[in-house]
Amino acid sequence: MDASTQADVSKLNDADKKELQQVLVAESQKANIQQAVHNLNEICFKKCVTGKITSGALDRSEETCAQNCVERWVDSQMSVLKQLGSMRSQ
Amino acid sequence: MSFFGSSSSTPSSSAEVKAAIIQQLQQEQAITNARALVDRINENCFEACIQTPGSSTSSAENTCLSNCMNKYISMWNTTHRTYVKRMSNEQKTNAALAGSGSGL
Repeated sequence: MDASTQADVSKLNDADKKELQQVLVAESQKANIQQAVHNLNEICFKKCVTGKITSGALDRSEETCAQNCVERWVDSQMSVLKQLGSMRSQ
Repeated sequence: MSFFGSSSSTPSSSAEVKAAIIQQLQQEQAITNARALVDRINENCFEACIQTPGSSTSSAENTCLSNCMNKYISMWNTTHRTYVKRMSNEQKTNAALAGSGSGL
């Protein structure tokens, strides 16, 4: 938790620099996915959990709804991107 | 022996600097993610459980909040699993279309 610790970047050798760059790219991808899942989960929670919440477990129908919700959301995104692509090439 | 070095000493070798940066990066990322999750849970479960805000939170509302939180997290995991799977499938399809066999 100590954020004040200063890492001296000049001490990094080329191999470690390269590895660090790869780690950064991977972590950045992870962060993007997590952010997308946060947005998506909120949308799907609103759509799939509609009744009174009586249990903490995700029941079968909610689970299926969540999976379908994600798949259809991605479908929708792809469709929009495709449409935009065809608009650009016109 | 201590590859990661102790938190009190400043990292001196290249490996120590690298490890320190990665550790801090992952820690900050974990905090950001947790904060985002807490915000979304509060937003959605308040909406779902507190219909009419009274002068205090009733035990029924507390039960609902606790259930809602567990449900939200379970659903987050399902959403994550489904999303990652679908995205990797899309990537495979794109790679196949582009005629390149490169993976992730």
